[in-house]
Amino acid sequence: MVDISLTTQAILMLVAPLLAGGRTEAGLLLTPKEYTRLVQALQQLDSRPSDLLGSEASELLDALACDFDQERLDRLLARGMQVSLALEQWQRLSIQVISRADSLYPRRLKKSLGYRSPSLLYFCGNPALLNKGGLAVVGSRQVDTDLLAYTHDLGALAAAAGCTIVSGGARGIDQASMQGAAAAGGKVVGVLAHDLARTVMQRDNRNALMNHELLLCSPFDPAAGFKAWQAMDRNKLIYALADAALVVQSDVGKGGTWSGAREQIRKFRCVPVYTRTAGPSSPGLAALRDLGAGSWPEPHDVETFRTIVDSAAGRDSSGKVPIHTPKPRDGAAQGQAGPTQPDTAGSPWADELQGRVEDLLLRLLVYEPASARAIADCLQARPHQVQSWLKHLVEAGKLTKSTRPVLYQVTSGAREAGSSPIAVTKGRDKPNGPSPSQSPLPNVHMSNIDTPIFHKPDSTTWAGKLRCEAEDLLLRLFARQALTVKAVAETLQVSQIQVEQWLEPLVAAGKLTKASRPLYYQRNTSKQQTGLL
Amino acid sequence: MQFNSNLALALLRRGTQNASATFHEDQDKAIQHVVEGNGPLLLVQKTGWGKSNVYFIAAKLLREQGSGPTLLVSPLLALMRNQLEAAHRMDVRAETINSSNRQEWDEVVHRMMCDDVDILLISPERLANEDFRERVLLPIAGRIVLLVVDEAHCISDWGHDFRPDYRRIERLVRLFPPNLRLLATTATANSRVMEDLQNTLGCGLRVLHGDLSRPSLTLQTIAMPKPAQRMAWLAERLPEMPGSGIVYTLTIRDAHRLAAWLNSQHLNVSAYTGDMDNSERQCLEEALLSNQVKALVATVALGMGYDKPDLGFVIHYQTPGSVVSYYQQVGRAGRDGNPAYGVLLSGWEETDITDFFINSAFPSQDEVRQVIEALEREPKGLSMSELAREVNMNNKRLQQTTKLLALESPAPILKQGSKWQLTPTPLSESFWQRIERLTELRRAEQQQMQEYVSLSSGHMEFLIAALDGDPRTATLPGLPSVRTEANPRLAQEAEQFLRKGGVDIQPRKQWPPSMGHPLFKGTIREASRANPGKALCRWGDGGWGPLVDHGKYQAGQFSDELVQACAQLVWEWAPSPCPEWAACIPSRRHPELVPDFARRLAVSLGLPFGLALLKTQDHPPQKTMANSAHQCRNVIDTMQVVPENVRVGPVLLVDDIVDSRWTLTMAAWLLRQAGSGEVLPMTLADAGG
Repeated sequence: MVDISLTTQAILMLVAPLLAGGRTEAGLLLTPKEYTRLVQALQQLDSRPSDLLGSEASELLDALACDFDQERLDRLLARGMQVSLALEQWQRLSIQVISRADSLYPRRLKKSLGYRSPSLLYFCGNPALLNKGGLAVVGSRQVDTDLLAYTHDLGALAAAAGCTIVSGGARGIDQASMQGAAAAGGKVVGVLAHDLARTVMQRDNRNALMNHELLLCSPFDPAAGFKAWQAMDRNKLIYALADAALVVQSDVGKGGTWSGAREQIRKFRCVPVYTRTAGPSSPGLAALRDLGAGSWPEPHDVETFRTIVDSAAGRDSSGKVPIHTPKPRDGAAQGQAGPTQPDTAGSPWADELQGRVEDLLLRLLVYEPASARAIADCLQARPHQVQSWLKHLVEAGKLTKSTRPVLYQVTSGAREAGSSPIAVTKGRDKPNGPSPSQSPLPNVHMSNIDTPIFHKPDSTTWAGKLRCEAEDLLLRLFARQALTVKAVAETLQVSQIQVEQWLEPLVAAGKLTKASRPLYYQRNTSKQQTGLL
Repeated sequence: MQFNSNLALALLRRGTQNASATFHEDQDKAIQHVVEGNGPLLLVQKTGWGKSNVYFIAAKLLREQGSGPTLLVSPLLALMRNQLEAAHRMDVRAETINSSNRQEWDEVVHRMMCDDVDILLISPERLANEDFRERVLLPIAGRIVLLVVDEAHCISDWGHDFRPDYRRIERLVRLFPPNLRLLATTATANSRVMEDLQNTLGCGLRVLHGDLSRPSLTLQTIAMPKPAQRMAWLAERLPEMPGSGIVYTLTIRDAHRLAAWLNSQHLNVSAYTGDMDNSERQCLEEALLSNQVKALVATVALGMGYDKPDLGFVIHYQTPGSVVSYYQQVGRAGRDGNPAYGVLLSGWEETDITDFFINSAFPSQDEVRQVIEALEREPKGLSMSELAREVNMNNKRLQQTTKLLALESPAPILKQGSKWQLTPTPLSESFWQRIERLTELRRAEQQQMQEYVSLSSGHMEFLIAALDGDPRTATLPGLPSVRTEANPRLAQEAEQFLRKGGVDIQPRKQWPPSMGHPLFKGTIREASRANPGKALCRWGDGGWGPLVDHGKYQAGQFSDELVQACAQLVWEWAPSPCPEWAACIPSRRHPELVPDFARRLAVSLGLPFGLALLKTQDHPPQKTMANSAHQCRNVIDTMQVVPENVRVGPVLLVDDIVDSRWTLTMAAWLLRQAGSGEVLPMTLADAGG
């Protein structure tokens, strides 16, 4: 057992559901996005989450008071007893919890997922397996016995090749791959969407856990039961923990395997994604290949198998060029890591903005299609800019564009997948998509589900929401340096006009100051000083 | 948070109902420390110092400033009535959740959620209870600002009274974030315990340590090996003792028997033990408080938290196992500063008793192995009763074993729903190391108490030094020492008393569950079961015990004195129906011992004797079988009836020692099947119960 770090404790208090079901905590806990903002705000005060538990906590809270709901933070930080009780119980169950700040936290996740990597990871078993890579095997729950046998053999082959199998622990393909590997004495990582505590106690897993050959982990509370959004949300972790991925079976346009694979191919691109080629053909796999997935060479011997996975990992000793170079996606905000310098890496900022805008657009369009013009009006954004965002989403398969009239709507299969980040940002207990009581109309106040802790001026409208997102990002961008409009536009990959439109209100609010000759903007720091001193 | 000293003082005065009360040294300092949140605090102060004032006032001051409630964990909730009244006067909304007020839990939880409770009191057992943690504690834990751990020495492995449930408290406080307040209190902590606590509660731990001397106490030790001598001494000396007091015994049985003896000597005393119900105990406590009894003859059940400032004496009938528990018990006398006696009597049986406590404190390697192997065989886990069937252990031991294992962290076994399951973590070697360390410690403590017994002076110095205090703070005794001889005539009378009456043997009425035998299941029909019987004495007791022991293990024959005593007992007992013949339990190991005795007893009672039962094969001694199913299985098929020796009338069935009663049950069943009349068991000693 590793000792729990103070940072992990602080994160648990701020974001972790501790009561079964988490109902009473919805609205209290910080959403991942809110947490990220809090970390950033703390960074600007030269502090970290753990300082909220220390002797200077009250000064820090005072300094945060204008941006964060004091009472809510107080209530979160009063959960010490609850957190201790939960931790003690997890330890008895042989379950440990780590946060992004811990050295055991898999570097792969941070590297591949950036700010989307889960802030907490619960696990039981050998944590060394978290950084070992291996082959991710995913597939449907309902499959015939031939495919199960195929997958079982695949697991055994991986074991023989000394390659770790990473999978999701679900019925069907997941379990077949894990059992195949475990039975052959191989190493296995199970990334569970639910019920970690119960799975840990299953006798089938006991020997492998005790022999350090199995690691069971989950980004969700060990007692959390099955929820579709959790299953969706953990898919990216399966890929991110591996060197390459193989989809054994998938539906087309629906189901967790499909959306997880597509998200991987189109959005995260952590690892090369292969599809099964042996056996009966599958429309789902064909569709994935259309999206860019590779064909699994179906190796039958250890050597070939090893070569495929090794080269995917960029580990080829013979110096051959890897089949696929994983694209590093170093996110903008990795908890403690400090904000990414905009002058060294441009894309993470653009990605983050794109990600946030995507969330917003998908939420906006979830019920009815709209034209680009209408969307731009609604968001009070530059039409040209909106066009470019929409185009991106259409390319990613999340939106579909119809002609005559030209309308954008959420792709039917993607609704589930696309809505998962929304569910994540909103609450822990919500089913996919907005609840029926929630009006689809863009200008309706959504605070009933998305309790704002941020006293932003006008987050009640879609335009306000977009502005909140943009302003938040901009303020972080300006945290360390002064920038010209052009530099900002390049960093965020948006038009200069759009940038100006966002910057002006910030100047008006006194958060930024504008200098002329040369024309640049910088953070107005006077507030922080009064806050801390 | 701010410490408001005026408000604190006002609260103290309201609580004590004394308008001019002031804080003792360190009391206000402790309150201030807690309220201001200056890190964990350990209070080591004598009982009666006023620790409860510290936490009630601190809890109240925190609440006044808008903080959440306080949680107090104490093993002594039942004994906190006085303190709760004081809290009430201070306007502190205190609630308890314990096993005796289950019907109020929902209400208390509701009030906690409504922020309507200032301090919640729970027992360590509650805190360790899975269901309670999940259902009650976790939801209300979200606002708790202060945890108070009473009897905090239990957190330490080196503490004198190891309470398994405190292991969870220990781990819990280790996980406390720095913004949670922690107050630990204890009356006794030697330097090793303190070191352990420092380790657990964090290096920033602040300690407020009071002095240990009890100047009002006159301490004395008297060694008197035989129980009858001590009984005689007590009967004579008790009336000379100042005021009223407590006589401590090590066992419940001794408490009852000693109280009965003293009553027979016209002394106004009552027994007080843990097997009495709450209201009865409360009544007795009240009687002592108001001096309506000269003394309570009590086990440690009358313990921590009982506060009678003018207690005139504490006498120990036997030597307790450690200096710490002795100091705590004797320290209850003379709290008001008036002179009081603390007399320790020492007898031959005490080492056996404390040895038994030491040896049975923890499961054996074999018991743990049995449990783990049984669970290994069953991947789906076993319920407690299924587990009991698989292991050769009695239920109490089994429960203790599973509980201790489950309190490890990570635990090697855990209960999931109703089933015990193996976890993915094997039992750590540290489990055995801790047991070994604790057992050694207990032996050393036992030894230290024997040193204390042999002192002729300097008793208080010895105790203070043993507790790592400053022995120079001890003062000279204020009372003359008590006479150390027992009156021989009274001792003789006590001996008679001990030998009188015998012990009842209740017949078994049910076959053990899950025997897996078609004949022996469910209720034993009345026509097949034994009648209530009698044993001459309890095994290992004073009175007849030594004679039985000598006959069985040394002489190889029971003496005529025992035959006479048993005959006498049968006359006094006058069972109905009256036995018309005698039989005995056969044995292949000692084929003559019991038949010889039974024959002589039959002669003395004028009854015919018949060898009606035979042992057909050897089986392991019944005492090595630890639970009913194993014991019963062990005797089935090993006994046979000899029909021609069976008579029709009621039979006196004789054995030397009865333990599990399965042999008697089986023999009675066989005799009744063979046509005998009712079966009246009669044994020399009862080793069961």
